[in-house]
Amino acid sequence: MKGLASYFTKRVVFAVVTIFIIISFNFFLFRILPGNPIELLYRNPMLTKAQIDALYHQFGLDKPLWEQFLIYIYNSLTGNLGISFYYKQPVTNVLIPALENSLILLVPATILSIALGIITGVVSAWHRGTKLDFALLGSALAFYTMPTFWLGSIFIIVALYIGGIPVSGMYSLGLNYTGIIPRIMDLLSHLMLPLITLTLVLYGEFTIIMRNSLIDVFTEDYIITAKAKGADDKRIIWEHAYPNALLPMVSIIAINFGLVVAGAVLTETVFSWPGIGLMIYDAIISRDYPILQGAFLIISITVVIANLIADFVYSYLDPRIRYK
Amino acid sequence: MNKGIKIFIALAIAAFLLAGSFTIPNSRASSTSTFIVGWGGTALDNLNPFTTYAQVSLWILTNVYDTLCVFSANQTQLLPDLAQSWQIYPGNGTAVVHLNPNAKWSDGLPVTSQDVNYSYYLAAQSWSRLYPYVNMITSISTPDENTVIFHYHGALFQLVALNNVFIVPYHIWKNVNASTYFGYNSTSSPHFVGSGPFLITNYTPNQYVQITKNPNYFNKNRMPHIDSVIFQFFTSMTTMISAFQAGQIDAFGPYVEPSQVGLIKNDTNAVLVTSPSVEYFYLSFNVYPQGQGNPTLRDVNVRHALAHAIDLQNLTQLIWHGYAVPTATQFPPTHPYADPSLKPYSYNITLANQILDSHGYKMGPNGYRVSPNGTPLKYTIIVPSSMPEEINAANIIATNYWSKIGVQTTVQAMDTGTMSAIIWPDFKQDIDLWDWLVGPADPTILSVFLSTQTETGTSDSGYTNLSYDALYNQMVNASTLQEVKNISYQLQVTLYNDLPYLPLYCPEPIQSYSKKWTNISTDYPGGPFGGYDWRTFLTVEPLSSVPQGQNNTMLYIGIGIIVVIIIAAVAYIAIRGKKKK
Repeated sequence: MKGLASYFTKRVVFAVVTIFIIISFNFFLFRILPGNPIELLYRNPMLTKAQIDALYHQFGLDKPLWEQFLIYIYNSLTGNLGISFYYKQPVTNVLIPALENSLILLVPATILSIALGIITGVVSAWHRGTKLDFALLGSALAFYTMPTFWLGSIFIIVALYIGGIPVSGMYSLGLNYTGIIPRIMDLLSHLMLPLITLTLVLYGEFTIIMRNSLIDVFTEDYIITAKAKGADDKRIIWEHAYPNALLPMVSIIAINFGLVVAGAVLTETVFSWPGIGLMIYDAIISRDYPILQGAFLIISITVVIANLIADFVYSYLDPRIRYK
Repeated sequence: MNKGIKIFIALAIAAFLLAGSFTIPNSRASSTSTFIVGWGGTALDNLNPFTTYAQVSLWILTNVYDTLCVFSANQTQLLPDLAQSWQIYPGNGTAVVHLNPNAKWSDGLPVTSQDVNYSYYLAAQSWSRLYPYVNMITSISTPDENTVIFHYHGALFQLVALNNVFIVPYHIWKNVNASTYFGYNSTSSPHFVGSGPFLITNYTPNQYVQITKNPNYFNKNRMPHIDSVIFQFFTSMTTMISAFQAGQIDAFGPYVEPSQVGLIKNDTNAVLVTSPSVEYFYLSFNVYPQGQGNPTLRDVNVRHALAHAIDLQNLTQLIWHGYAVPTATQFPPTHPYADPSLKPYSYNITLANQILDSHGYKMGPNGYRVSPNGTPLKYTIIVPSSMPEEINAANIIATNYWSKIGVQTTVQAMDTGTMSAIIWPDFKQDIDLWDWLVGPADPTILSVFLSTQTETGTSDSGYTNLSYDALYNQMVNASTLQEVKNISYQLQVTLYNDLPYLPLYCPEPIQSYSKKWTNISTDYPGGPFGGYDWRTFLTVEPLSSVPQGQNNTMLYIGIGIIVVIIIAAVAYIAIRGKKKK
């Protein structure tokens, strides 16, 4: 028990230190980008030097970099993510709705891709060397390497050909919903294409990991023993092999959180899904430092927490870990 | 919970959703007066008329606030808006404006001269975007509730001061910090108060803004025919066109690239429109005396040779396929201040070579010229990576034209942030290919070339000419509009000869709307959906009572099937994964 508590404490301390390093890194990361927000946001020949100086002052960009950094650190630690240069609103007011919209896309896409990855990985591993294995593995690799933008565009073309399928946005604008069900269904209809796109882009990795992990497990003595005892195939897969093969998946899922957001940037752009990915894209173009810092902070904390949870789950599933 | 119950629950949920999908009313069919316009330009920043810089914000604000006057489509005549009449006395720099006595705010209070005075006071603050449009006003007096008297210097007042300042309600704005106010408050009541034909009724950040007809709008002649307008924002032009083809939006702007025109032409439900331009593309030569670009570009003879070596007519056609016109000035040819006597430099390779030869730029053994002091005529054109057509144009200029006169040119596409960092403050570039939007009614775009603009991050050529500065100041202080026009012509001739910029072409905005709508004019600069035309949503109306909704049956069947598959898959995994030994 003492080992477990010590392990947890170490993990939490590491997570906190990691988040602090990320906060600091975020500040400099975006300022390394060439160009500054004033030149990009206010390219207007009518602006006077005094007005431009006023804008620098308003955004705090007239202060020395070290002073900007200290202000940023203090604000970040007190939960103040600043005011967006572009939207002129508190970053949290802009980011939170976008984050909610992203979660509506990311959570089901992640769950579906994991489920699809596990199922195809298991089937592929069990039928390894067969045409079915080749087809499943080939499909997984193809979708894994397929550019998100391209795949999304293909779906849009197909949707236009079929007709009646929303290709952008989150809701049909100008509709007067008669209840919650029509609203949900409208959301689902808009979710369909981005969800399928993101799921297909993400599931390939899980398939490959699951398949390889299972193939390793299939060579273990206890599997051979189970076969020798006359256990049927389903029981060998789902009761003996699958739980053990799942361990590497835990790490991959946690690490994958960052990649999911990266995938979402492109998916949200293609389908005009108003999530955090689309907001990051816009913010990079306009060098909206507060939005970028806030978005990356939220994403980073999410990844760190996901990894922390993965550590705990891993140590729960495999007690050897916590005593190392 | 046993396996059977789990499957039953999963199927029940799926059936519920599937059943729900078939009961969705096609609400938009019964709401024929909502016009949805897609916007693929710079996103909305805020709805404060004093701090917004985004064109779409200004367009929305044009529909919800009034200015004193508005310009006619040809940009030569001021028309009444909040002002019912006005007299201008150029001799003593006075304008007397009489407000429409029927004008009311949407909360019922009358619009008074106090509102006008306060709005111009806010516009004149240093943080205000509108400061350059009102800085010629020396004082304002309000002798009564419906009269405003402006004292000003310079005839530019008539071009920029009466039509750019949105009049906001004093009784609302006196209670907010106007420099940071967003312009729409969803937590207060009322959320928004305006005097225009529409009111802002919904704003969802990064998604859309909805404006709804103001039933109390004072100008019955301009009462909209539709109930509401939704401005939906897009990052990808391709997605926006797809949304249009899918029937999700009724029109789009501010423009699409010519390569995308084919997508619209093939759509039998679309009306493709072009309108007078509000934009011009140019090559900017780095002529900044302290600049770090290739110094040979500071020689005006080199710039003249480069100008003569481009077949502008052909280039314009190649890049814009008939949707742009070549220009010789900083204005589109239809602009009221464009000097019609100036024509693009002739395409004459022989002349270009002669100019370079006669000024000592000898051809080197490698086929490229060097200056008398040995500097090779080797340039890099930087161009925004977001403009594929312009990257193509720069490559054509480099390989098809300038190579013929012994000039070695490379093209580098990059994001505008990187371009800005190269140009300002050290002027490290040789040449950049970029664009400017031009105010459709005034000559203030000529301020780009003032010497002071190198430090504001506006001038990308670094042009420094004190005579030009003095002449521009004369224009600002001219007492009549004719004088303004004459001086603006002189400024254009100066730029034409000095050639810090080589103007290329002015693209006509390509926009489209659904055939389900009518009464949309295309004569206003920028087009009906370009963010400039104040008339678009006052005149547009549905063509007929044809239902605008879509038949979504197939869609919802598809969704239902997918939901069933998803739930079945999840249930299957749950059951198999948790099966006890």
